[in-house]
Amino acid sequence: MPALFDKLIKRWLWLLVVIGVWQLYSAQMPLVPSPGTTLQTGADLATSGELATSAIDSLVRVMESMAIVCAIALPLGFLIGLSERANRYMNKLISLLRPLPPVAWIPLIVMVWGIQNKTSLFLICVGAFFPVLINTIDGVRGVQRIYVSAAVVLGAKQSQVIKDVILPAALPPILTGVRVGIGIAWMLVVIAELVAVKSGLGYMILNGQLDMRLDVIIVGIVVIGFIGLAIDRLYQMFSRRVCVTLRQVERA
Amino acid sequence: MLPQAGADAGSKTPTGPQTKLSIEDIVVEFATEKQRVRVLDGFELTVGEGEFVSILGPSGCGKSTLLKVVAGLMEQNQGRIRIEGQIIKGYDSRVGMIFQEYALFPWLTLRENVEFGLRVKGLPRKERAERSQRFIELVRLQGFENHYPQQLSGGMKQRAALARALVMDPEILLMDEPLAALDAQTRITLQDEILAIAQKTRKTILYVTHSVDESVFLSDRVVVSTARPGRVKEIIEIDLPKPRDRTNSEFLLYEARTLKSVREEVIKMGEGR
Ligand SMILES: Nc1ncnc2c1ncn2[C@@H]1O[C@H](COP(=O)(O)OP(=O)(O)O)[C@@H](O)[C@H]1O
Ligand SMILES: [Mg+2]
Repeated sequence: MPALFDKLIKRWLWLLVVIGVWQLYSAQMPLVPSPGTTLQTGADLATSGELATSAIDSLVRVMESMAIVCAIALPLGFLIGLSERANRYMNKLISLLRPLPPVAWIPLIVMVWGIQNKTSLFLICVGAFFPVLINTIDGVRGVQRIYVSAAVVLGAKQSQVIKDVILPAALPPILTGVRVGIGIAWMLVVIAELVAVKSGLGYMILNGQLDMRLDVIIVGIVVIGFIGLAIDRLYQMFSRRVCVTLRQVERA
Repeated sequence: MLPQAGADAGSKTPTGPQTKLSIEDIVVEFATEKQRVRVLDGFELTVGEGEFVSILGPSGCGKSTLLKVVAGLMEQNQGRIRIEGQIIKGYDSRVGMIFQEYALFPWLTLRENVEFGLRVKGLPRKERAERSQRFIELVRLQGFENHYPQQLSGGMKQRAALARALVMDPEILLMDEPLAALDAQTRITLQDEILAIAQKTRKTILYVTHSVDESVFLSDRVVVSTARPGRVKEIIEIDLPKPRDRTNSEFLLYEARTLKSVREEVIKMGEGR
């Protein structure tokens, strides 16, 4: 028991320190809410349903964007990865667009589409698109030729080689690309909600700023952080479920 | 019989009763940015039905390239491959192949690997299971059906690859240095097994190796290839009953003769650089 207690202390000591400093600091600054007040605000936001509504708005945006991204980037990545000609056509365009920071699109897209959901989805999509596309291309390209050869001498036709060899062999890097894409999407959804649409967790903390409610902002930031972490964990569980190779790497 | 092209040394009539595989005047060139490299330069060989023929030659002389051409994985610039007199192009279900790197699919279990060819052929599940089980037992891997390749030792992986090829019932089996990555002990065990399986299944086997001992131990004939560009330099018929005794004086003489022939080419390869 003392050993367990010891371990808990060591693990969470930093949190105690943060809360302690925060408490002292808030006592001197009228604008800064105390940890207790913030916790109360968090509970209020949770019970009123505002937190859940905002979180769901943000999550839905990320899911919609990732669905769009995957629907375009995965087939396109396969095409470019498999076909030298498609690669030649697309290469220049990709290398031109890729280094562009997604937020650089904001003025343009807000001007064209105004403040609406479509605008935020576009922003998230352009950010998440390239890691998914590039990892798919590299994954498909990186499939060892020997696997293709082995399948061909076992009688596999071209479509079977793509479905039964290239897809499973390229799956780990593709899953990684989608993981990076989701991470970026979660960051961009908050940015998009600060500037391009009027709902979600980003909009909630923006309102906190306008109302000078630091407690709301802090609750928002913490929730955004935890949801981001939870999404990543869940996604990794999903990856291990769909990809034998990932499970194997861990076991080895 | 087909007319023999050129005056290639050693292009002899096969010892088997019937010609199964004819490799005729195969030329392969690779075009790199700077130059064209000729890798095979008129390779000629016939292999009889049920015969075990090894190809021995310095590394880089085009042995793997030749097998890829026969397997239809690569196109030759010139020449023909025939099975029983009929010209083949691309993949042919009568040909199976084993690779040095095993090339088992890491995302499939041993059983799924063995069933791969049956599955792409569209065989029903039950028949696949029966056939794969038979060949898993032939290579003595029963009990490991649900293991993934990473969980198998090198020797087990190559036996699995052998089962995966044999389950398709090819008439001709191409083996590209199948034992090169294994330790000496496992290699000897597997040589015995390959020999036993070859005799049991009566496959026509074209076997690439860089081990003189292995080629003399396994083959009816050993084909020594020249340094790049590869051509048949000499064919040595190993006229000893199988399984062979490595300590037998005749065996040792065959080994010495084969070694001498290969050494000359290895030295040439070194000078060529
Ligand atoms: N795809 C390729 N492109 C260019 N050169 C190649 C290619 N494949 C093989 N080669 C060259 O052809 C030669 C023969 O290769 P290979 O058939 O693998 O030799 P071996 O199996 O006898 O060691 C080597 O010099 C190799 O570098
Ligand atoms: Mg080779």
